[in-house]
Amino acid sequence: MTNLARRLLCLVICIDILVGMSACSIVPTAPSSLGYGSSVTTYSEADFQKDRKGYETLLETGEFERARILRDRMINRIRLEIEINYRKFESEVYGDRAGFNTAGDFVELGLAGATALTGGAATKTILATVLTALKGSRLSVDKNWFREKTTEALVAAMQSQRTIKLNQIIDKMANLPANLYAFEEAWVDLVEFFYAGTIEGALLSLTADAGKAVVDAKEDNKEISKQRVEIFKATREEIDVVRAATVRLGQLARTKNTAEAKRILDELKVPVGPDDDVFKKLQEQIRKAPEDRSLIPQIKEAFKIK
Amino acid sequence: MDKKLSGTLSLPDQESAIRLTEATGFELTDLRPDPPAPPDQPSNNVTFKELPLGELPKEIHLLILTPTVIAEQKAQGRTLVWQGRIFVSGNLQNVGAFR
Repeated sequence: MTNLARRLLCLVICIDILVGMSACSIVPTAPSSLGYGSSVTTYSEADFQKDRKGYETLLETGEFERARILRDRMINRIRLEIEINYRKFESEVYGDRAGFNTAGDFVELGLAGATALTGGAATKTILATVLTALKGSRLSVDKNWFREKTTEALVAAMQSQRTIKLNQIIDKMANLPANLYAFEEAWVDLVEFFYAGTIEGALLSLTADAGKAVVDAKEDNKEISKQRVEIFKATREEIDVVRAATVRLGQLARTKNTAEAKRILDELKVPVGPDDDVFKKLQEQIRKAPEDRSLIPQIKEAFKIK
Repeated sequence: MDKKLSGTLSLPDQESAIRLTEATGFELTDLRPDPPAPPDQPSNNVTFKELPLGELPKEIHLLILTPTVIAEQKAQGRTLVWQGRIFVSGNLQNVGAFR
């Protein structure tokens, strides 16, 4: 390598080091009540264990409302930490990738310049080979770590997935008491909320965009809910007859009394094939009752309910 | 299994509708108001889970939640198994389900 080329290469490397060290800050300093790693925002293991023990005691004594308050507090403390850590991570994704690419650009430009300026053929070849290797390395990082997605696309995907998961958690907190949305289930939801804010989560969701089946499944669910059957008020007698029939059905099934089950089905004028499960067929008839109330007197008669 | 329940019904009427479905071998797991519908057609979505053949849940009691109702129900040996806001006689109310 000629002296000139050697000097140019050294200059390029110095500039890169300076660029790296001068890392542009894109986030202002956070107040201490929102600071990453601050004792105010950190939910210590001791605090968590104390709250968890209190929550379990309240559940055992049936104080669901107080348990709910504690459950929600635990969820929000964990959520706060996830949120603060995620914001720091997001700004690092922007900053680090931009810094890496800028440094890479400088080195490439410097090497290209040095290659052009140098006289010896052997040196030219060496510099050109180093330049090719550098370009390949950058492409490899982009391909393997970021699947060639832009930073904006990845951040948008992370934010979208986090919002979806967070809305699910908030909805459950608002509508379900402590014994129907236990903290353990919320814990699983919080783990999913955390992973929604990772590069891996973003890449998976961007891939799922190509999965139209996800959208189709949601449309199918909407269609199914439109087709819901409506239920109507009932009299005390109707409820009692149907309950009695269901209890009787359970007794017949447990004692495998197929003869009696067939007799009831005959009286209800329900045809029975040789391979039919007579108990399931009886259950089907009982389950028609809410929509066809005229069946209830027939069920009462057939099951001999007083 | 999801069913639709008119939000114009009174609470006792909604309770009886749910009891009849439960009497066929299901158990209420969730109750929530449907997404915005025409103002004169409020409705609720009722979710049930299927029980094994012949099994029945304890009978459900729906009540408007007040500061004393949970303690009163507890005194009668019942526990709160669900609570939330649903349409009752056309208005959103805080309701609890007890067994």
